[in-house]
Amino acid sequence: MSEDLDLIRGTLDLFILKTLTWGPMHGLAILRWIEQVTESRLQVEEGALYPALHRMEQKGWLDGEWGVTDANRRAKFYRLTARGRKHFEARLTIWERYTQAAAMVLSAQGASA
Amino acid sequence: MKRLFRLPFSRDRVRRDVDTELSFHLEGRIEELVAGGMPREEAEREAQRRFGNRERVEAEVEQIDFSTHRRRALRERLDDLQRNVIFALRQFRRSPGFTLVVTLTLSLGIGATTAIYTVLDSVVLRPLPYAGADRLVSVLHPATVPGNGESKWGMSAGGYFAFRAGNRSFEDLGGYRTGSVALFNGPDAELAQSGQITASIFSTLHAHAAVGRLIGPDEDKPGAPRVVVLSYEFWQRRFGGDRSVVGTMLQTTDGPQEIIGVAERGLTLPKPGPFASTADLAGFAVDVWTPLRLNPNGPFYNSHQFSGIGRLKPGVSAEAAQHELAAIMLEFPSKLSNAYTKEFLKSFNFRVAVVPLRDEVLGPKLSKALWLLFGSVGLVLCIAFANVTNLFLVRMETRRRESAIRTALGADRAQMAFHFLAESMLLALIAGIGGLVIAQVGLRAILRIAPTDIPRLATVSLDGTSVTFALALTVAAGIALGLLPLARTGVDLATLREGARGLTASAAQRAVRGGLVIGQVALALMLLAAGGLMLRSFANLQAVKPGLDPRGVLTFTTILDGAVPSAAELPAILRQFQSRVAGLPGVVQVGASSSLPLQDYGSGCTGVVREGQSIDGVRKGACIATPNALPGFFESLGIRVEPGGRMPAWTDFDDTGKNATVAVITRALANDLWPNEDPIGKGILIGDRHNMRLSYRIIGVIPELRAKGLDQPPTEAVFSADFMSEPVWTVKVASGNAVLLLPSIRKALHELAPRAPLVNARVMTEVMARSTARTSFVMTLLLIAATTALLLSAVGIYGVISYLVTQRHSEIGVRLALGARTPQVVALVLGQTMRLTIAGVVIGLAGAFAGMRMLRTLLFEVSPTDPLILAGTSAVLLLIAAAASLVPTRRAARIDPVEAMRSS
Repeated sequence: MSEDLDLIRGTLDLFILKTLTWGPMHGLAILRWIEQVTESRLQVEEGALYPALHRMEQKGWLDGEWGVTDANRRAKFYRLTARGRKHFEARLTIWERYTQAAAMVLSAQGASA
Repeated sequence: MKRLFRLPFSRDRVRRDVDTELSFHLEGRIEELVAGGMPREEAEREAQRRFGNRERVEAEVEQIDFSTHRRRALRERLDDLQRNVIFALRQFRRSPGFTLVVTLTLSLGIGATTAIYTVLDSVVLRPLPYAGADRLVSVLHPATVPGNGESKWGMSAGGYFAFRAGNRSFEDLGGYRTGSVALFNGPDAELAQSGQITASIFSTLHAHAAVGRLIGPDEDKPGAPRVVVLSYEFWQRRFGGDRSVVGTMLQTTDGPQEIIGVAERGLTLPKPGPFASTADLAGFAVDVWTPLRLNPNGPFYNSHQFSGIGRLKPGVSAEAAQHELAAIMLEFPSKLSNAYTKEFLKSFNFRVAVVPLRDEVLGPKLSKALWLLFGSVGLVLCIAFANVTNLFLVRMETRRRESAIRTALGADRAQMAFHFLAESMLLALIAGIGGLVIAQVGLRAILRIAPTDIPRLATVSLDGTSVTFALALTVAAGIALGLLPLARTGVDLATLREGARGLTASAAQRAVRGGLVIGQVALALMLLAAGGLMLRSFANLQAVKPGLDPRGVLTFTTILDGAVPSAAELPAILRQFQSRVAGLPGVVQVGASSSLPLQDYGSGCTGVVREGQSIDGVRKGACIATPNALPGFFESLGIRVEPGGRMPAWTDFDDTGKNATVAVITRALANDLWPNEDPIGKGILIGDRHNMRLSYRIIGVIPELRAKGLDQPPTEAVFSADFMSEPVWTVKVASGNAVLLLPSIRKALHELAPRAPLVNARVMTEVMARSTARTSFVMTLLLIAATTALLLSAVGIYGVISYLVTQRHSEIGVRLALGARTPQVVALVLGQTMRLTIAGVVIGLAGAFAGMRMLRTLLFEVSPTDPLILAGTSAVLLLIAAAASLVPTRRAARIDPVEAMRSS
């Protein structure tokens, strides 16, 4: 559990930003979406989501607005701002480069003579 | 604009929102689980497990939101500021004239005030550089010398021991005198300033040694081995801070003296001793400290040659200490019968005074003069501020529409205040920076023209205090000007409907503006009158006949003590030197005296009586100067002798080189000693402190001589024809620059006395200028302040009158259309100017009558309410006002009635 969390903490922001590229969502919806795509393989401590959301709101990547759900409930919806999108794209490039490099190292077949 | 619709920040709402958000999450999860078939209770537990610690999350999120709000508010405020600053800058660009005049005027006011404040702060306000300086007092003897007025004497040796032994008010008490001593350690002799002190001076001042030790009581006794303490600065300068000089010998005029230590850095005496020449008054910097080695058992004389400094015990007032010393002093005739008699105490009204050291060092005149100057530039600042206020008022008129639109668009008072404050603050800040530049430049100029005898002035510079002061003025000006429009931004929506025309100033505004002009004129008048009075004093001083002719005279001092093989050879060397200098090209006359008029006649107090008169008579101890003079002295300075008398000549000295027994006295003294009698041929006795046995035959009378200063009464002096070991030479040249002779003179001196220092070389005109330097300094600064005030007032009058003409443009048009002719229009405008100016002049005159009394001590032979000066300044102001309204008046006279009426 805690190992999962450590891994996720650095990437949680990235997941949230990615999720929100589909449109405004409230916190629970963001989580459900991540569960759905990962087929529940990532166990997130759900509470950790909210500080992350509010911090990104402070940085101006997200805009939080109160709205009403289909079930007529008041919920806070987060929308990706232009700055947030730009930030996400920049981070994504870095992330992809990193994972590729990591994959190359981890899947290497021994030193060539 | 979005922020307009956001609700204001509240901590409670943030907490509520966070709670709602998190509850929504948990509820959603629970419902999800229940829908999947889980029992409600179990679903709740599961949701909570997945969520983690709710309290912690809640607290964290709240903190984030709080800081989000704080940052956002700050950013908004900064944005606001930026917008306002940009707007203000755009306004400045749109009206560069206004901006320039406002900043220049304010800069001038702030700069001048800051410069004078800096001087005032370092000279007057800052304490003396001693630990616990507020408990340090000066002990001195005021006395009324019969026929010679009030004077201040120093402490006597007998008085010092009596006060020290008998008092309970003082922690410590010491005495000192100052002088100079020639040193012979290097290849060339050099002159050092000496502080001759009782050991108790060090303990009184709480002084410490930097190296070695200071003079202790054991070294301050008659017969103790001779020791010396170097000042830190002299040690650095002369010995490069070499610690090994401690323990070695310093070769002086008074023989070898052991260097026992170096005093702490910056230690000096607060003022020169009672007999110091006025040339050393620039905060006496001691090079070497030597013990006085006074004998507590006497014999004591009525000789007041020591400056007394005491340190009061905590809680003891100067008055109480003075009371105690006065009681001790009453015992002088019984305990120090050799020196004081009851008759003396009575006939001289001999008293003792204990005054705070700082007051004594500054003197009442100086701090008064500086406060006066500060007040004057303060008035200049007021005038400058009045001008700027006026300009702002006028501008506000033209911006009433802007204010009204802002108000109509929903700007509240705070936003309006912020808007105007940003603008005025920006202007004030620019002016403040300009002010600091002006202060720096002004300060340098002040230091250049300032007399050297103002204590601590040399160290004055713009520092933190001055900058703080300037900043305070700047902020005050910015706030006052920024809030000015607010006072009148009542919701003036009517302005919008009125249209741009027809905005006439209300009666109240006109009154304010007129009041500002009246105030300016009144202040300018007072400043101008003060400047005029100082100018008149200075002119009077310049007109005083000093009784000598300083033109073409070079003066310098040679220190022959210790530089000639024996005292017996002194006369021959003096005589030879004189004839060698007399032989130099262009030299007309050479003479020497033991002290130089207008420089060294501070407060020598020697007794002088008629031959046959008792030495215990009333004149014993009177302050009469008794310099020695060599033949040629009077001639070189152009000092005349009355018909029937003559000057001393070398034939008066006998061939063996012994002193002559003839003297020349001044008319002032002759009138005192022999009223209505011819003093020529009469005998006179001079007391040389130890006995009263030097007698002289009077051969000449000097009709007039003001040797103590041009503002002092004619000097009472006896010039005895005698040799001196430190002659002050006076060399009169026919033409050209006498200073160019110095190398030849120095060469002649060193051929006769190779090690003799030649010091204090300067031309006599400079010595004379120095004696009036304080008056001319105060006068110059006052005149600068007055001129600035005059200039600013002229600008102010011009501004207001031309504004009024613009305001009455259409009215004047109507008058012209109805048949008024140009002279009537001119009379209308000029009349308005003159009404305001005359009101200002009347108020200013009243102020001058009330305030000029403060000037009295600074003035010389002119009444503080001199009618000529007051009338003259009033006339100048009326003229300036008329001149300032010239342009607006012409404009009014040229108004085209048709055009004026059509445009309204």
